Amino acid sequence: MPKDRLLVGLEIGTFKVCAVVGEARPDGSLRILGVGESKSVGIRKGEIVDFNSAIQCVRDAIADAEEKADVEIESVWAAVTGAHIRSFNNRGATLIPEDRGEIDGEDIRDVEASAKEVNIPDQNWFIHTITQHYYVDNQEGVVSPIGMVGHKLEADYHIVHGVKTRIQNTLRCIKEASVEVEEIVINSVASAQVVLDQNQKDLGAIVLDIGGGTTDYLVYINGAVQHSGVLAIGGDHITNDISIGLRIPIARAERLKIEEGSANPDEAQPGDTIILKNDSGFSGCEIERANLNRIIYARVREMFELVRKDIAAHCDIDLVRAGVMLTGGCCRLRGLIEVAEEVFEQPVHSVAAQEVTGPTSVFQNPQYATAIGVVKYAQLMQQVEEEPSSLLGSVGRKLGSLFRRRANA
Amino acid sequence: MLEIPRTLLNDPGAAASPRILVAGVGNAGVALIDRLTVAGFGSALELVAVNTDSVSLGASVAPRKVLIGSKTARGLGTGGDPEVGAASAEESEAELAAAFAGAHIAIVCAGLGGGAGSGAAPILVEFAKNQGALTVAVATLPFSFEGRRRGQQAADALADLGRAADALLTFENDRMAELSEPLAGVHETFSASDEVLAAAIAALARLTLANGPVRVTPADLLAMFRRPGATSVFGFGEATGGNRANEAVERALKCPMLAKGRLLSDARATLVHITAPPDLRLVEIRAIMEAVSRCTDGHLHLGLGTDPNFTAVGVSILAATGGQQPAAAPRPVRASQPKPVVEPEPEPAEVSAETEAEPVATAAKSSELFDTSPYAVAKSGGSKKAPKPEQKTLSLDPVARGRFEKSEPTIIGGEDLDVPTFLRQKIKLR
Repeated sequence: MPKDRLLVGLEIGTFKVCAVVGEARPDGSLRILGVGESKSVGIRKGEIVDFNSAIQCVRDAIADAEEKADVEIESVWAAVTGAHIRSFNNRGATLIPEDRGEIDGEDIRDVEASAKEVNIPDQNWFIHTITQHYYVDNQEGVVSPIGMVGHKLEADYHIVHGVKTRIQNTLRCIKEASVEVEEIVINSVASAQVVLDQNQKDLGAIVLDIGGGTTDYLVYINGAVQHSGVLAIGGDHITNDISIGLRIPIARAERLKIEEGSANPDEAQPGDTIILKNDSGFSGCEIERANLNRIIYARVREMFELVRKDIAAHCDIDLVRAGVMLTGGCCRLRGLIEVAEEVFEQPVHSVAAQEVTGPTSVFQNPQYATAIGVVKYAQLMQQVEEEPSSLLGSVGRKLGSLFRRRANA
Repeated sequence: MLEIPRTLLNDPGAAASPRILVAGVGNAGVALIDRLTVAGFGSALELVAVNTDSVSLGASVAPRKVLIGSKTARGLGTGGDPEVGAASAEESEAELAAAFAGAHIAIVCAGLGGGAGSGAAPILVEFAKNQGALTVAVATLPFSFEGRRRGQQAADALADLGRAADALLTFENDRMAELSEPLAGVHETFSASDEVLAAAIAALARLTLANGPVRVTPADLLAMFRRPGATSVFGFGEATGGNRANEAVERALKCPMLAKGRLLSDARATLVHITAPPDLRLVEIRAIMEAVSRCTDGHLHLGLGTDPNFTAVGVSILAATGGQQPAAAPRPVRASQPKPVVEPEPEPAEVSAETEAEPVATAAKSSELFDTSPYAVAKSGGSKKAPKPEQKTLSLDPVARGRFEKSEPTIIGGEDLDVPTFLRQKIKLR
């Protein structure tokens, strides 16, 4: 029986760098041992703008995680995001040699390679090739074609790609912090692994991970990833809007957003004011609650509308039957769910990581959903490698890519 | 490059480069003419200041001044009454006609809302047209806080101008002020809007004068700016060096009128005019056009002027936003008026092989127009009694992006999403 294995997920976020140490149990469950984090410096919109500061943040987060979980971290799985990440759906096809007739792993790789024979910009890299559905001789709904007999194997894929150099920057930053990178995964794919259960994926669901600098979204329809995207707008933008609109410093705006902010414009009564105490470098002032809420409402409504518009342009939003799952640090903002319901016309839930065990304070906090998701993703991917023909393997393959490791990139 | 002289002119006498006359009417118009004079446009453009107020004219540094309505207004101004302005212009028809005589393109600039600008500008345009010039009206609309009366007068005058002129460029003071710093002083705001206007006029002249493979003819301009009710926006940027194309277009889009290209998003048609040394490469043109087209879904017109005398790549972006479809009803009958002059083509003068000296002269002239910052250096004489000694450069980035100032902008559908939503959607805060 294989022993428990340590997996570390690292998310370099705009707001915080966070490393989650998890223990993959042989029975497929996942236990969180500890979370290390440090406040981000030099990250804007999910991407590194100040390399040296970012390295320091990664080091701090790793050291913190090592201490909390009492382990030594050598390698991590990393979440990446950024406005450069693009996705599309494509179908691949391959013919099975007459003399064999039985589909094997080689054919799966062939069909995947044929789906990747599309033009993506020269400077881009494939990040994920996520299987949606297999078709064997036009038979639909094949879950795992290995071992089946047929002449023609086809498959639909959701392909995610991004600018090579920008991804390399993230990888280099982690390596500079003396940690190896096993593989990368985009934020929304990672988050979806822990905020959705299989039932919700089958029903169809939208995962909306609203972070500090980006909003990452992923759409599951009929159990398969149908669309994903990154919108470079996040909690930072709300803070910035507040800072500009109310003429207060950024740090004060951030605190105001967390303590008093609400996206419900009707909540504030006329004349309802908030008094900001003076602070070092800030003389204090009194602001209208209505103004604060109006600024936040305008921004989040626009953000949801943009996401909805993009999703509606790529898939049939009516096929989403389990609703919208909000996660990420920003989803704790008051009134956010109501605005999302208004825009998406779907039930909206604010969710954190599920299906993991460990300290509840960690996995019930939506801030950590992405990083925990990375660990879950890593666990699923490793199961695929170990038991390629098992049911779990097929589930894992469904989400995952069979791409080579690029830790050396 | 093979160049074929195109002589499309009806009038062989006008084979030389077209005469462009810029007339400023009323106080705002005169201020603009002063600005152009000080910036040294006097040699390439004919600048005429027209006003009913002798004091304002006396203080002006314009090379030519015409006092109109010496009987009607007695040199005291109109008192904000467009009727007086119109009567003054009618009274001085002879002087004005003389001023416009021989011009191919007449650009009439006025700040609408007052007396002289609103009343006299449409009449000036008529006179210019009677003299056979192609007429372009450049109008600024008053601030909304200037009151309803001025607003109404401006709207009436704008309608008149739209009917009279071949092309109409409208700039809104409100918008210009909105885009400059909220804390900027009155002087800065006004001089900033003047500066934008002057730069727009310089660019207009530049793009009709410049020689190049893809020319913008006055007819193109007319087609773009004939629609009533449209507002014009303008941006100009210039750069040298390895990344010159990208930098120039970025600077142009950063101009306050364009607000990082946001305002282009609802532009119906956008004119992009590139002026460059002959070594401009196709990839550079493509980079510029792509950068602009990212900001707008409307039609894009490309104009290209190359000249060995230019050292930098300059990008002018002129767009008409809003406005209705051109009314099906024809514009006022012009039976008695001469047809608008056929496009005056500067090209023949520059490419005609007859004289070696002339192309140089023309080139030198136009290169003056291309001067990087026309306001930086006051030309000889002008500096001493320049009416506006403070020639501050306008900060070109007044749009509030806050902490995202230096990061890559998130632009979707031509909107810079880093700018607070409530600002873009104009949500009022109490």
